[in-house]
Amino acid sequence: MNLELTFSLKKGRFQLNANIQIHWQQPSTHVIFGKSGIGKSHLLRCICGLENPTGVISWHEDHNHVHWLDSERRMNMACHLRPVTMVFQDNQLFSHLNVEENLRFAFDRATANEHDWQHCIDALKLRDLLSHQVQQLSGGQAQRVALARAILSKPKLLILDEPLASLDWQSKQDVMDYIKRLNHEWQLPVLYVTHDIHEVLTLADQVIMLHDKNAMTQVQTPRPLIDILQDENHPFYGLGKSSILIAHNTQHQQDGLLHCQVGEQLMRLPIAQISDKGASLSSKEHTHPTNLKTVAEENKLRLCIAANDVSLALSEAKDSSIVNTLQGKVSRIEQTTSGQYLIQLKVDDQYLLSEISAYSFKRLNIEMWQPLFAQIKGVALQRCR
Amino acid sequence: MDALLLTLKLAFFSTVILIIIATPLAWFLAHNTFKGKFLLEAIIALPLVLPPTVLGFYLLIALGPNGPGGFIAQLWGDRTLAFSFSGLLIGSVIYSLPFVVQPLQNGFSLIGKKPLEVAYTLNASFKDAWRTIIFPLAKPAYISAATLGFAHTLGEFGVVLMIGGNIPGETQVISIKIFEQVEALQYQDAHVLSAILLGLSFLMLTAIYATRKSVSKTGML
Repeated sequence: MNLELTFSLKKGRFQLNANIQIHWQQPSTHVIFGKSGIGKSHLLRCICGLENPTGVISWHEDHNHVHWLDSERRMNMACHLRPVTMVFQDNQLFSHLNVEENLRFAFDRATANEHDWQHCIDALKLRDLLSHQVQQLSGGQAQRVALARAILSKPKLLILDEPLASLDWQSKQDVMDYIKRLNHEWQLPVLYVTHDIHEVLTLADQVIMLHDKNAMTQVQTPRPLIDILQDENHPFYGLGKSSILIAHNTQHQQDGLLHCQVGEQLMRLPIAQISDKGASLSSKEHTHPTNLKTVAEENKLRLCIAANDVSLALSEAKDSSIVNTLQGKVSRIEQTTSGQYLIQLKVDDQYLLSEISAYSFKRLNIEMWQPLFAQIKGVALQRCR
Repeated sequence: MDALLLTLKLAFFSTVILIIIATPLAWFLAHNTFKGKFLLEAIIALPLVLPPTVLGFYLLIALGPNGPGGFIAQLWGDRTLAFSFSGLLIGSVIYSLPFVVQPLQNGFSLIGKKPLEVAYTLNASFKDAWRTIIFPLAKPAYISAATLGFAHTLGEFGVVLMIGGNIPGETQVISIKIFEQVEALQYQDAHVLSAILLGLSFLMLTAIYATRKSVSKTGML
C-alpha cells in the first residue's frame, strides 16, 4: 500500500507543503509528529478530502492506482467515497444516537459483515455498553466506541488524530492497548498523529516529521523510528529519553519467563515484573495471557526502555535483584539540561540510553568506549512489525 | 371562518417556504466568516425593527404593476402581485425571515461542522448526512424556527394591510378582520376571534418552551 502526497494547501497566511510517499509494506503504523498548531490536522483533512489543496493525492494498492485528488485534471474525490476513516481527538460520537446506533451508522454504510460486527464488539469490550447513551460514557469508553465505529466502516487506511490527547492517564493506557492491535488484528494500515513523544515511541514503525520554516509547514519523508532514535542530529535524539532494542528468538519458557536475545546476549523478561512506569509502558497487556502468547509468537520483539530505568555498573553484579544486564561500550556522553548525564551504550549493533546523576558519573569515572554493564529495571514489550 | 382558514393557510405556506429558504442561509451564516457578513445579517434582521407599514409600503411598490412583482405577474396575465394571496405570501416570508433564520443559525452554530465531516468520513453522502445527522440534531432548532415563523405570521397586521388590503377570502386575515369588527363596534365577534388567536399563540409558545427545556443540550433560541 502506498499513499502519494504531492500537494500544497494555503489558508490565509498558513501554508502546508507535502511531497512524500508513505509506504506500508504490511499493515503498520506511521506516526505524524509535530508540535501543536503546525498543521497536522490540516494534513489529515487533506488526505480525508475535507480540505481542497492543490496537487495530487493518490492511493496504490496491489495493482490498483486511484487518484483521490488531481488538481490538473480537476478531479477531487468526495470525502465519503475515499476509503479512509478518521478517529478524532474528542471522539465525535453522534449525540442523538446511542452506542449501538453510532456503530450501526458506520456498519450500514460499509461492506462489513455480521462476523466483523461481533468480533469488533467483543474485541473492544463494547457488548455491555451497546444500549448506553453516548453522554453516559467515560472518555476512555467513548474513544473505544469511536475506534470501533472507525473499524466497522472498513477503511483501507485508518487515521487517528491525537486520539489520546484528551484522556486521563488510566484511559490512555486502556485505549492505547486497543490501538496497538489495529495493525495485526484488523490488518489496518494506520496514520497516527501526535505531539506526544511517548506515543511515538510506543506505536511508531515509521515517523513523519512536520517542520515549519518561514510560516511554511513542510512534511518530511517517513523514516523508521529505530533509525531516528539513533541519529544524533535528529531532534528526537535523547528527547524521549528512551531507547528501543530489537530482540530475537523469543521463547515463552515454562518458568513463566519470556526469553529473548539482544544480539548474542540473553534477556529474561519476568512477566509480572515488567515495569509499569512511564507512559509508553503497558503492564496490563502483558499480564493478559492471550496477548502474551501472540506477542511471543511474533518471535521478534521491540523493547522500549526508559533511560532512567537503566543503571550502569563497572562489573556484572551477581547478587543484584535486577535480572537483566546488557554489556556494551560507551558511545556518547551528554549532559542534559537538568544536570543529569545521558550515556549512550553501544550494545552489539544497537544503542541503549541510560540516565545517571552527575555524582554517579564522576564516581564511575566514565569515559568514551569504556565497557560497562547496563542494568535494566523495566521494559515495555511491543510486537515488532 | 374564512379569515381564520386563510390566516392558517398563509401561516402554513409561509413557514414551509421560510424553512426551505432559511436552512441554507442559516448554515452559511453559521459556518462562514466573510467581509460584509454583518451587512447580510443586518438586512435579514431589519423586519425585527422596521415598522410593518414601512416594510409594507416598499413591498407594495415592489409588488405593484411597475415593480418586479408586476413583471412576474404578467407571466400569467395578472397586472400586479399586490392585493393577492401570492403577494401576501411574499410579504409574510420577508417579514418573518429573521424569526426563522436566527434560531436555525444558533442551532447550526452549536452543532458545528464536525458531525457532518465525521459522517462524511464514515462514508455518508451529503444528502445522507443531512438526513440522518444534521436534521435530527437540529430538530429543536427547527421546532423553534417553525413555531416562531408560524406564530409571527399569524399576528401579522401592518404588512398585510399595506399590500393585501381587505378582500374577504383572498387577503382578509384574522387580525384585519378583528380590526374591521372593532371599527364597526361588533365587539362580540372581535372577542371570539381575539380569543382564538390568543389561545393559538399561547399554545405554540408553550410548545417551544417545553421542547427547549427537554433538549437544552443541543440548545435553541
